[in-house]
Amino acid sequence: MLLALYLTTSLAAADTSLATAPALEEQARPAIAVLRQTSIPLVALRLSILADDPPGYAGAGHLIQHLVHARLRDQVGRIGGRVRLERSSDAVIYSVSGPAEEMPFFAEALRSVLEPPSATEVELIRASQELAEERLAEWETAGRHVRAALRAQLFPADLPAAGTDASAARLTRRGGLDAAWSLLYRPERVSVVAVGDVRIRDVEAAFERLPAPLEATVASPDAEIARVEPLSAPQATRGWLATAYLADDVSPAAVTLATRLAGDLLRERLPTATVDAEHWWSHHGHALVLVVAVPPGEIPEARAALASALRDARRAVSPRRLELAASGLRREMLFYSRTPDRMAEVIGSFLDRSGDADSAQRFYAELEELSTREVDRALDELMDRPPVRAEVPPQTLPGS
Amino acid sequence: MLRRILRAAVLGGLTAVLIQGSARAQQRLIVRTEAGTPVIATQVLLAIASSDESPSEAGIAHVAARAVTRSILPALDSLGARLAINPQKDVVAITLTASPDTWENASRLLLVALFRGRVDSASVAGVTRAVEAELRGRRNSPADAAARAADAAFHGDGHPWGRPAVGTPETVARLSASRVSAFLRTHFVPERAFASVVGPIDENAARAHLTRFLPAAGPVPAALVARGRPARAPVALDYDAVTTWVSVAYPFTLTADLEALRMLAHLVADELSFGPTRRSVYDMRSEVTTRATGGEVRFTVVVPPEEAERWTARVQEIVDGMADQPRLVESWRALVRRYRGERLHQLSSPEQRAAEAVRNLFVIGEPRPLFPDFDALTASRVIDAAASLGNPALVLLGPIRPGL
Repeated sequence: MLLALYLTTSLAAADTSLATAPALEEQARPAIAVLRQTSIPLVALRLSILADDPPGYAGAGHLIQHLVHARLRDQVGRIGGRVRLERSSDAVIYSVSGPAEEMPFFAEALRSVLEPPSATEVELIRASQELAEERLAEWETAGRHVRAALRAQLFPADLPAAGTDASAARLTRRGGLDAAWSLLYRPERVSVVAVGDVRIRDVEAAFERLPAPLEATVASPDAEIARVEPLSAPQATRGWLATAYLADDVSPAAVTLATRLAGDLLRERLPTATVDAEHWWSHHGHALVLVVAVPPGEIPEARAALASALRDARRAVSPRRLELAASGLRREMLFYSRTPDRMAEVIGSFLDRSGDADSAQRFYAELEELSTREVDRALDELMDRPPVRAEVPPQTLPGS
Repeated sequence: MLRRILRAAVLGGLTAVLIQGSARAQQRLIVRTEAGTPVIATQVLLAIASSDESPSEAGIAHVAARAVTRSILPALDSLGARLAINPQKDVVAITLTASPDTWENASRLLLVALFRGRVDSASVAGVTRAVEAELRGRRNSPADAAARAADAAFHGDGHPWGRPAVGTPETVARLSASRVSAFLRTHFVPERAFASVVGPIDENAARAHLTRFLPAAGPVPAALVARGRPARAPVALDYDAVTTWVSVAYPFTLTADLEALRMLAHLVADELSFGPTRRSVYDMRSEVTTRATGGEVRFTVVVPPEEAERWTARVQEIVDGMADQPRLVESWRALVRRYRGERLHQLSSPEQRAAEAVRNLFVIGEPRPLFPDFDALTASRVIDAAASLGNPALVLLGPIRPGL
């Protein structure tokens, strides 16, 4: 109950509790987690369909989101609600927020996205074109380019949310959507997170009956191997360098802290650079990722700094630094989750990844309890692994 | 319409009223305990108006606030706290957001800096350079130019609130450390402060902590600002842009039904926003602003230059039409249901709730429930609210064709 505890610091009589509905064996039901907040009459509902797009149908979940977006936005907007759709590496996510009293209406709107998708040929072509543009956009700017290149090397099975050209062709064929939906959707693969002035029994009742899944009529095509070939490097005025380490079998909390430390030290060493230190974490695995953008003259120094980033972090580990890093991460999480929709996003991302609503609380508890030895060990294990690299060189200007 | 004219006459009569300080003790601090909110948001309003600044020093309050808090930024950063400074016509609003375990330290740092802090020439020079650069950058923004022009037209020529609260690049560049320091000593005082706290904190503990720096109650600070005299004729300003910005700003008095006015603004915005029958509206904004002398409902639409006049008239038609609209009564349930959702979203973050709570305290003089009673809103209240508005100030900013 750590998240709930964080939220109720210094209050004896809290109105906040994180509750999860028990899984019922006899009937396939969604996983439900409710964080009750009675102080504001708002609710955020986040529904996610867990795990991958079906093999051979990469991008199916996101294509369906494009198809239902306008309808869902108009439906929810009629009562002043807001909609946000997202396709993460773990789930296809639909979020709505609005007055808590309207929770049954929002739940009905969300249930409707679990009906078998239907679209006219024109709608399908339009959505497919939007996805094609998203696929290209992934390589359009230097920052996104190096990340896409890293992801393709680190997690070949984690195909782009917008799918591939081959899967797009399959999805737009007659029966393609039904085939993908029959493989993608089952009520037990659905998770619901509610944050706001609602009770768990009401949320359970609202999502008690989900639409029936389609019977699979076709066998899943062979899984696509993600041969994501990087497109030409985009024009950039600075050099972009990225290094990543696969962190499978290493404690995620230790990797989060190691990432923070490495990022802080890189910023100190490269004061003119833009430094992003990221912990990528999905059900595909997790990795420590460092991305820097530097002026052309500083590329050699940046390359050297990236090469020694983990070693430098290993040397710098101290109880005080760890304490600062852990409290900094916790405060950033609290600040980020200060609205119900953001809080639902934080809890939901952990639930999607692990299937366990309490995992967010456990993670932040573990973060605060990590010892220097555990972080040292994590860094040692990462350094033993070959790093994955990607770069976008700065453009050469005429006359330079 | 008759009611509108009568109302305008009353508003006109108020232009000469000078709002003076009152000896009546007014509540200055409000704490809203919210167990489920993960952070604590604090907003301090310093009752320092543009009228406290001479025209040649416009923006000094903003520069002073940034300069005096500059030295605490690294400490706030290490505590994970966020600081935002927002100069307004009648106050300087300072918002601090911190996690529960650091709020006490962070708020102490802020309040000590605000009321006991000193500035040196390096910090003032750093801030004035930064603000000057920001203001120069904004000069080329038609949105900013339209807002400045609408302010000047609404408050009238020479009125302090007609000037930008942030000043101009020229006035800011002239500010010296000694002037900023003197301004701080005379204006950044607890007697001018109002504060709100929203988050997971015990009310008594928060009050005990804050009242070491701020009065919990006290006489209303003098706001020596007369109501402005809006421009009577439409103002057309030539501006090099491909679109025209049309601003229509209606005055209202403090006795107006504020929630009904907010719903009115929402309904009008809905009828003006881009849609199948309004493809030429590139952007639309509605704002309801309250001040100690009354308030303003402002609509801004961005349209093709050749349609500017038509949209200026259209905004007024819609507002006038609201005062006598059968559709409002017929579809009331659906309208209020939608308004409730949008209004609650305006209060979804603790900073937004802190801002609204302290604004109510400052303007109305007493706390008001943060979340409106939507069931008590009626079509007739909105109709009456529409009728209570004064005559609007009209501004068109864009490529002005001859003869407009």
